[in-house]
Amino acid sequence: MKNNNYLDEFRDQLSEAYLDKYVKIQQYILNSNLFYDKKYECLEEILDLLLSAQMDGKSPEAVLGNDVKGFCLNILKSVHSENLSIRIGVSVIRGCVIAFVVGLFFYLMSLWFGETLYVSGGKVSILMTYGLGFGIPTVDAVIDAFIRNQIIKQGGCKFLKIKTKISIASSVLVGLIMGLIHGNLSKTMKLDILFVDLATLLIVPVVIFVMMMILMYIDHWGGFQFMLSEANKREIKRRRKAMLREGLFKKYQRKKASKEKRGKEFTIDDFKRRQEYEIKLAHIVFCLSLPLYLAFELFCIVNLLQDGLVGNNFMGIVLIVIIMLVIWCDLKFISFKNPQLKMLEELQ
Amino acid sequence: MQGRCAERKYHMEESQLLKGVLEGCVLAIIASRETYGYEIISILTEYGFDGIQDGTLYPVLTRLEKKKLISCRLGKSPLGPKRKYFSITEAGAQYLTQFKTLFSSITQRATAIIEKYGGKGY
Repeated sequence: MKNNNYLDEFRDQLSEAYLDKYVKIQQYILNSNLFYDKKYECLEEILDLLLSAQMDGKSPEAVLGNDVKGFCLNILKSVHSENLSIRIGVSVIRGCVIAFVVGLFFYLMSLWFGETLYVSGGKVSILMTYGLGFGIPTVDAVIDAFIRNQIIKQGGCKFLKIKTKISIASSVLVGLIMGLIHGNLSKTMKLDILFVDLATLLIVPVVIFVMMMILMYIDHWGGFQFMLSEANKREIKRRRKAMLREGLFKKYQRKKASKEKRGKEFTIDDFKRRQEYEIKLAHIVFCLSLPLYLAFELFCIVNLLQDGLVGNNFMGIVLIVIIMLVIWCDLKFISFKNPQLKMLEELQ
Repeated sequence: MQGRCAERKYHMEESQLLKGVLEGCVLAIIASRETYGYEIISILTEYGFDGIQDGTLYPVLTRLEKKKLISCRLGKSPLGPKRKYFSITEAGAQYLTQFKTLFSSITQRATAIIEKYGGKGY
């Protein structure tokens, strides 16, 4: 909502012809499957394009072409290719998280009401968990795509106002279908295959999340070859510095906007003072938590060597790797203190 | 058969030829100075590339950024909204030099063939 109001002040500067095009583009982008902040980033870039063209006295078609849908598709294509692997990763994790939540719900229900068709021996139905986890977002994506097409073809969509209700109804429908399929399969197949335990439901998204973080980090720094190359270490340092600088500046802008909305003044010096306090406090927290992580890691390694951790070596190894990554992140955050303080000094 | 072939009309679309060249043109514009999307579109349109208003520039910029040929920073535009400014990287400058050499070589060879053999007997 804050972002939307922020863009409205620029949208209000558009003439009627430009506004008409922008409203269509806005509806299309807002109903796309981009992440929330990416949608508004896109719209802000498009607003700048339109305002620049308007200032030069050009017609909207001069910068958008005659096909608004084609324009939007190209914009979305450029954003999607930017973060395709991240989107896929997030979609998979989201599906697994929904699966875990559904599984937990059924499991808790079984504790109160006894085991049902979908819970057996402390395990929950794979179809109900992963079926809903991936089925619901898929159906949602189809509904979004339909609404976007209607917006572009007809300038609006009568289903837009009831989109939430349609999503809820379709989710219930997906649940019923999965339930029916499970019911039919359980009559003909071995029951063990149809069920999964809660621990697996929890571990799967965590492992995928960790793998995704690793891949994103490698991708961000240009791949293994780029990262390890001596000639590119300066580029890595420069980009890290630019990223920290931009992050700080964006944070200052957000806080300033928030304070000004409440009628309070907020200068760059106020921000620097507050930020310095936050950086030092965070540094203390990271330093204090490091020995705890190290102790837990040692405990897990000792248990694994004694073959005692969760009775399963693979899970033990996974846990050790995850804690190692947490320790590595902790060390990174600890090392960020001085560069951040230096960056803060240079902020203007 | 000959009659049916004579009836078909094949239209060469500018976009087919443009695909290979647009990246190089955009890179050349960015190499001259730090610039942004609207300015790039304006320069391309000024030189007759009218087909790029439909947003085709943006996937090109994303591809160039992914290949680390250009870098991007977010700045504030004089009109208010945030704006992405693009500048060329070292790798991009090298790529542009190679592109200019290759493009010049291909253009010379293609022009020579078309001038010598094209249009005869038609």
